[in-house]
Amino acid sequence: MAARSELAHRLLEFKASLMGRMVPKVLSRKSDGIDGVAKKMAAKGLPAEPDTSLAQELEHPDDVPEIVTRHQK
Amino acid sequence: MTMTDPARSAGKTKTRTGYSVCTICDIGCQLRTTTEDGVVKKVEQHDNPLLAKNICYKGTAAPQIHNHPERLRVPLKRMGERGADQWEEISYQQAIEEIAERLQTVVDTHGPEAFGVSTSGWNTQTTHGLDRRFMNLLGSPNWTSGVSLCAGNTAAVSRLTYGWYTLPDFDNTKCFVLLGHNPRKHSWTPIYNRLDSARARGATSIVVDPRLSEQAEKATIHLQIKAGTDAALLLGWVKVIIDEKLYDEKFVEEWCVGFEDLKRRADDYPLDRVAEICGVDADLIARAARMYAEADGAAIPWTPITDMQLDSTSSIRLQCILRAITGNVDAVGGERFFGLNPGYRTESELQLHDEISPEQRAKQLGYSTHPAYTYRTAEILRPHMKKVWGHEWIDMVMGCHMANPSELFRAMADGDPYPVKAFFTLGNNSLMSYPNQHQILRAMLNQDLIVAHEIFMTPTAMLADYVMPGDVFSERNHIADSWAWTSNLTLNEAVATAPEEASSSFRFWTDLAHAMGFGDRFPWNSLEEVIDYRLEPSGTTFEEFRAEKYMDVQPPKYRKYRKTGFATPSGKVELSSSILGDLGFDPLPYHRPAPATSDEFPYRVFSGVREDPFFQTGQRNIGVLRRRVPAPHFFVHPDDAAAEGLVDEEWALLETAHGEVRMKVSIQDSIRQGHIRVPHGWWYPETRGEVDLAGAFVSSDAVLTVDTDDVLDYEQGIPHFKGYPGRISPCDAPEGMSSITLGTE
Ligand code: SF4
Repeated sequence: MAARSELAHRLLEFKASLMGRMVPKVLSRKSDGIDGVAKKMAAKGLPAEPDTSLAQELEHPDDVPEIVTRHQK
Repeated sequence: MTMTDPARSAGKTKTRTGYSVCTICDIGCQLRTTTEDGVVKKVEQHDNPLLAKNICYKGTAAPQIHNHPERLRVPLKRMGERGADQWEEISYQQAIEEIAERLQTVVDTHGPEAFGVSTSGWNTQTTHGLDRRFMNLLGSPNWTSGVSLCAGNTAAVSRLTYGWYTLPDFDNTKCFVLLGHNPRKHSWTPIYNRLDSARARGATSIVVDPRLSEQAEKATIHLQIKAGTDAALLLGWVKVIIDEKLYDEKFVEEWCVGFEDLKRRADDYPLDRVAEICGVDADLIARAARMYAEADGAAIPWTPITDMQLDSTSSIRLQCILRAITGNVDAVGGERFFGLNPGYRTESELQLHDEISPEQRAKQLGYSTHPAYTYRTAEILRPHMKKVWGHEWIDMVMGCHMANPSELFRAMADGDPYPVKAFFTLGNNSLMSYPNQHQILRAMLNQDLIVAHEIFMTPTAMLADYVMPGDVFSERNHIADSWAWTSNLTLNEAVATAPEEASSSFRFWTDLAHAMGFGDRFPWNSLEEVIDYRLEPSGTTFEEFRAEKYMDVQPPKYRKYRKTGFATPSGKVELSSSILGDLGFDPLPYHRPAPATSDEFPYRVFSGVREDPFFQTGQRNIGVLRRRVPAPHFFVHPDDAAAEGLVDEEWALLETAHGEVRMKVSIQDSIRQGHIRVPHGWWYPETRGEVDLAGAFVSSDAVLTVDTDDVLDYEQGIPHFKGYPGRISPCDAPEGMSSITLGTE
């Protein structure tokens, strides 16, 4: 980091701010206008196929009994 | 109460889906919760693909948690001896009236400082600072929380150095350093995802951990240090970075004070000495320091490890110092100062810290002995916080003006330095959440009034006079603000129906204030009214916020200090801390050796470690989670196991000078020889009524640790959890364990 010049700082800050301004559009409930464009752009950066292994890991079997007190005073 | 617009399905069943902020752990993923007729049926990933990976299997177990058959639904009043676990069901109104009367008696008899509160904001969420408001109006400064040894204390100590608390600029970082922190796919998931993304973009990583953890396996450099030697390692890095001129000279010159003093202190830590202390090769230490310093944007994400050591203040400050001298503070790819969200009033504004007199603030336990995160330091920072951030009493991660928990429990147990006789515990199994569990038990047995606000009966609640059923995230509207760690606002919608006699923490404090005669200072009739009040500066209401977005994210601004300076007395980054110096402490960071091992206690024990299925002391009663880890395990190196006659999956007894616990053994190559890792927060809810306090003293790591002055961090009074002496031997299974625990189910 010691080597970053003022110009480099400013360029990086400009780029990061530009990306940062898109985030609220990506996280809005609207899907038309700029918000829609932002969402499409953001989606481009994601893998085409969703990660199905995660979905499996998130599932819980239906038949697991709840843990309850064995004996209550 | 406002409810989410229903999306009705066919037939009579009313189905609702809303956005939720999961509170099963402390990272607050936004998820979607679906209910049928007010009952939670499903919790699933976000529908925005950018957020969809931020979920773990604890989050999807929310239906089992929220609908658990033993969830508390009615207020309980103690019958018989304290801790006998015998109860009478009473109405919410009766409970509030009786609690108010008894609390008033304690205040009249012993003064308002005789009232202490311990809470976990992650669990209660919707307090909106009203607990502190209640206490400030009453005159008690003795509020504490688990954040005193996890994140809240990092926030407070960071403020001493540069007036705020950072979060990595994960999207742009080129290198990150994990000090024992080990985010996993099912633990601290959003951070795990962001670290993975950074790696995929080419970021290097340095992991410092006595164990070959999941993160260490992926690291560019793994420094397998002896537990508890982080400060020495970081001092070694400072020395390398200064000696080799790898620091940002311009930033140091313009924005730091105390560089020459720091340089002299670092000279006390030549690499051969550091290598000796840490048990790691000197060249590897130097290589890691260079990798961090030379990256064009590097981050040291928060770690709980350095929050729990006897030189915690130095370890935390060293992370701040490294960020500063390498020019990574509030810089792209480094660490961001998010600042406050200008559209949302802070909790501290609602907390009314000017209402409690300076004299009462000075009675805060820890104020004069270990002041780093108490009112004493916050008072010094007031004008500087006001100048830079616009508010005097900003409460970052809830941790900036707390009582010291060890001193609170001592006052409760022994009346030293004055008696504390009423104790409220909210969403916080206090008995097992701090060191010296035996003292905490004594403290609780010496109270005139204990109130627990919980969703399940816990060992702590079993010791209470009143147990108040709490609500859960699916049952309330909320906008979460991450307590100023970030400036993001995240929507949580009520989609389920809370049990009639349950209360949100908002309702509890508001009703209690009314019952005690100062309800006029709690002018809100509903949670939505509080949220509307907090949103006022944005010109929107809760309903408008919800209609428009599910998250509010402020565009980033970097290097803001160029306009405002830093919120410290010098206006700069204080490498040598004027505040610590003025308070009588060493203004420079140092390494303090952990208590030495001996022939009697030859192992270094590190505790306070989380397991994927559980958050803190919770979820041991959730079938789908408990069956993933049915029993607690010590992690032991194969050579140590052989030397001690330990067998994988058999039981062992771990003893320290202060206590003993039993767990099963897991023999692991990944752990450094001579070290034993102990998971946090184990008890056995199913044994309630058969084993004392449902096994709270069988396996709880809090039994092993003490909080006597010789093992406390000087500045904060934080106990040492990372590398204390212990011994281990085979033993039989503890009495009364269930078939789940024993593995005979
Ligand atoms: S990591 Fe898991 S438990 Fe924690 S907030 Fe996210 S979904 Fe909930």
